[in-house]
Amino acid sequence: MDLKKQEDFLNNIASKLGRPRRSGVEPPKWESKPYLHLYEGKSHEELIEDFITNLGQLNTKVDRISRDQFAASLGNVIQDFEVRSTVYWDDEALDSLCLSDVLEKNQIDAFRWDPNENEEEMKQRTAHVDLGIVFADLGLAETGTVVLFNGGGRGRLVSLLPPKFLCILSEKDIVPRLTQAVQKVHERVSEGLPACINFITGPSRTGDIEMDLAFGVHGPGKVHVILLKDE
Amino acid sequence: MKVSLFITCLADVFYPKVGMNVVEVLRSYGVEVDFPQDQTCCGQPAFNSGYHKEARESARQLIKAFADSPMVVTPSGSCASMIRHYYPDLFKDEPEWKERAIELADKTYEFSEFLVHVLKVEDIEAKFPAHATYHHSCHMSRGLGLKGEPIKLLGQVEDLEMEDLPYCNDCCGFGGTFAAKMSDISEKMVDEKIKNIETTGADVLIGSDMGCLMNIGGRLRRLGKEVRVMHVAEVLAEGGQK
Amino acid sequence: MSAHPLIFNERVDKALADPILKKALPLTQDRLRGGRINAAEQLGNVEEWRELASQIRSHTIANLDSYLEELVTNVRKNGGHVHFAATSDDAVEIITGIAKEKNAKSVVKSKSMVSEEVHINKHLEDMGIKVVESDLGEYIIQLANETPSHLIAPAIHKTREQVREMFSKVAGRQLSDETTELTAFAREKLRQEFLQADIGISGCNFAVAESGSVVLVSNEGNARLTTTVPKVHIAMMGMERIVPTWNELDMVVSMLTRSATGQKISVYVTGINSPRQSEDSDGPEEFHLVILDNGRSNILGTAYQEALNCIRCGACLNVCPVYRHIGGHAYGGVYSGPIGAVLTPLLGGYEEWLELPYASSLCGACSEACPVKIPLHDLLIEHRKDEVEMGLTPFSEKMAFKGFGFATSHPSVYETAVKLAHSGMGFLAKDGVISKGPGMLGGWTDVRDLPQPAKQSFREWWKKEGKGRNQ
Ligand code: SF4
Repeated sequence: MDLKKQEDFLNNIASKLGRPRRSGVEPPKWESKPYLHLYEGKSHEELIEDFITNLGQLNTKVDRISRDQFAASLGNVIQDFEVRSTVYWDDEALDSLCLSDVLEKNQIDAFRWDPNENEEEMKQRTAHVDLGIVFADLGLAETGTVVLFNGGGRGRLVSLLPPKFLCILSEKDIVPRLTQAVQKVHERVSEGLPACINFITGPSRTGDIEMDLAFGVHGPGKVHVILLKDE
Repeated sequence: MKVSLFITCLADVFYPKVGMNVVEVLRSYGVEVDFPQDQTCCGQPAFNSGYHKEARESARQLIKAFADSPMVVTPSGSCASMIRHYYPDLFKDEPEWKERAIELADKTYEFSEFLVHVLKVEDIEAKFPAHATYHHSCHMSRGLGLKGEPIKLLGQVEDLEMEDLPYCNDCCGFGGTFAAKMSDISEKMVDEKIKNIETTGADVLIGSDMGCLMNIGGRLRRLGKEVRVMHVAEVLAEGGQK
Repeated sequence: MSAHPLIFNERVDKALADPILKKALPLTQDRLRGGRINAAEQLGNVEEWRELASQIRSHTIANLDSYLEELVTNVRKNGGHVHFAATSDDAVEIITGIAKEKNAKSVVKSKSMVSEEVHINKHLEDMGIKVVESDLGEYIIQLANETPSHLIAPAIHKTREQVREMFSKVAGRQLSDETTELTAFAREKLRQEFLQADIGISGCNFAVAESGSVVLVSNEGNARLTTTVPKVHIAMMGMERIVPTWNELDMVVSMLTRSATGQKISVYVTGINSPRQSEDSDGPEEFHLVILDNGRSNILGTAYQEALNCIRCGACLNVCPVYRHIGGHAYGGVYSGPIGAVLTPLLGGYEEWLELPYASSLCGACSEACPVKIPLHDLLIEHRKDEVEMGLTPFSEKMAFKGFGFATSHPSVYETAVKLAHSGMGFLAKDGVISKGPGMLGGWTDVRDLPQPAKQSFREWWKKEGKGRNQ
């Protein structure tokens, strides 16, 4: 029944297009690459600077630090954002920064997004903490975007429900622009994508009331990025 | 150099002086001008209203009228754009006429375009003491991509002070039959245009399409405003006796 | 399409008389178009971007059956459900069916124009289900019981005072008209709705065929909440909103956000690739993709096919001088502005939408702005042509253009007409000016003066004196 509907639907398209049904079409190689000039010839250092500048224009501070400065840097964010509670990803990259220890030292009511915990409780808790902390997979220089491949301990709600958001990123993972990020997604299609991929660029915003810009209407209204220098 | 003038129906009937001024300016550059009497209208009113059969009738006539002309010059960005963009398509099912349409399209120039790109005029000898602004008509600036040309010419006119017109890319509300069919919307558009003209403080509004100028000028008059409305050719010709 | 109580002219009159619109529309337009222009200048080579984006869209539409098949195969492979809806009724049946099966009490929605097309809110509400729009602008107009007036800024016709009044009523306390306070209230209120909702209904900015993904573009984050918090997610997509692979997505997303608001990218671009996976403890357990035709397939293979390239950025609305004055509601359909004037008659028929193709001065600003190069104003001419060929235009107009065609193809007739113009219109003129004309002329002279045709036409002058003066 459903399949018949599908066939009718698709056959109708083919017939309106005035040709037999097509299947398995692949896109051509697009010769034009209009985005190239935006980053061609830029050094990685320049890309990092672009990333920082672009986020700066979106009300988002980026601290570029070495790993051993992480505790201090996080301490500053906690102060700046007046954080008392937080939820963070269950993620090796965060563990390697001893995140939970630092949080404990700062007397933060912190909990890990643990897929084995009761889901409803985690959701409620996440909705009420001050800050969500994640470790991003990629950063896009042109836009100041961070890319999150969610899944498992890397819960989608962590970067969404709390009013403030801290994203940690390794500067080696900064790529020029969306082009490289979608290429990486494209390459991962065959092995299966996570349920959700997020591209996040600064704080949640709206202009729906008289075009007057306001932050945090649904997602986090304050965003901070800690950029780890490559060692 | 020899050119034929396509006067356009609007200038023929309402603004013959614009045509005379075009002839005068072209002749002052040693161009020989003729006027094929069999020309009528480019057909745009019919075309834009969806009467393509009738538009084709007009178009055929125009193509025939200018068949022997080496080049055609017209004081209207809109009519030039009609010929250049829509004629070939209008005859897409008639290969022979299509070819003739393309031929006409290729040799037709808007007035300022002709002066700047064909005659390569660099030193206008005109003096026109006035405070003016320029209206970019949509079909000329978007349709033909001609924006700098009239400005370049006017910039060479002595004592003519040109002001930038705010929102210069916005339509004045003419749109052919639109001005009559949707006159209440058109009214708001032309009023906004006039408001912008007034902020420049200009005494003269210069343009390249008598359709727009008839609209803006007619509204200015209705509102009792003093701004004078002129075609580029009029400015160049009137300023010619320096 | 909606059954609207007013005819086109009445809607226009109403809009033109609305002082709030008069203030809000130019303001919004200026902001949004300014943003787009800045973004284009930053790119430097925006024409190349438009060209590629247009090629991508055209290729996709030309192979729509193949890409849709690939898409739905992948959606199913990823554990999602696929529903094809040939008509608006089909879509309603599918969605209400899911709601019934899930025993849903409440639904949250993020912005979806397709859902407006099928009036899903009304149908769900008729079943006793609470429906909450979560995009701030959509929430505002839902409270006002209105429809969106702009593709990306649905509530631009509402002032902050109006928003304050509506929000205060919901809050049960008096709010100030500070934007921050109003948005904070919306956050708090809508957050409760999200946490309770049984179903989230989203639109679909683009589906990606190669991975079976639905990609949503938003600034507020409500699209993320809609597709993450409720147990069931339904995405409603117009059948043309698809790209072959993630690589093409790059181009269309880049053009969408730059053309819509001038942002290089929106705050959130979210790829939904499947329902939650076994190791996840958030995200919906069920994912449904509803693919809607609703008249779109009738556009395929016609002169209007390019209209399906539209990525709903709103740029054509933001540059349209007609939209600037009448706003979105006057168009009467779900889609407004130039794309609405093109699309609505195609989806809803000329019978109801006869005037829309004439709501344009054909200035071409829309076509110039469109990031996927849809020749919008040419398509409006095409509509007018079709209306003429179908005999839908008034008799007097037909006669007038018949005469026009005859005169302009018979130079001697034309010449006589030109000669008679001055004296023929003399009875209307005073001091060389006509200020009240009959018939079509009346529309002109209602607003402006018309010069009396010159005493001597150019062609007469030429014959008499112009000719001989070549040097
Ligand atoms: S028609 Fe073009 S400009 Fe208008 S909304 Fe669609 S994509 Fe944007």
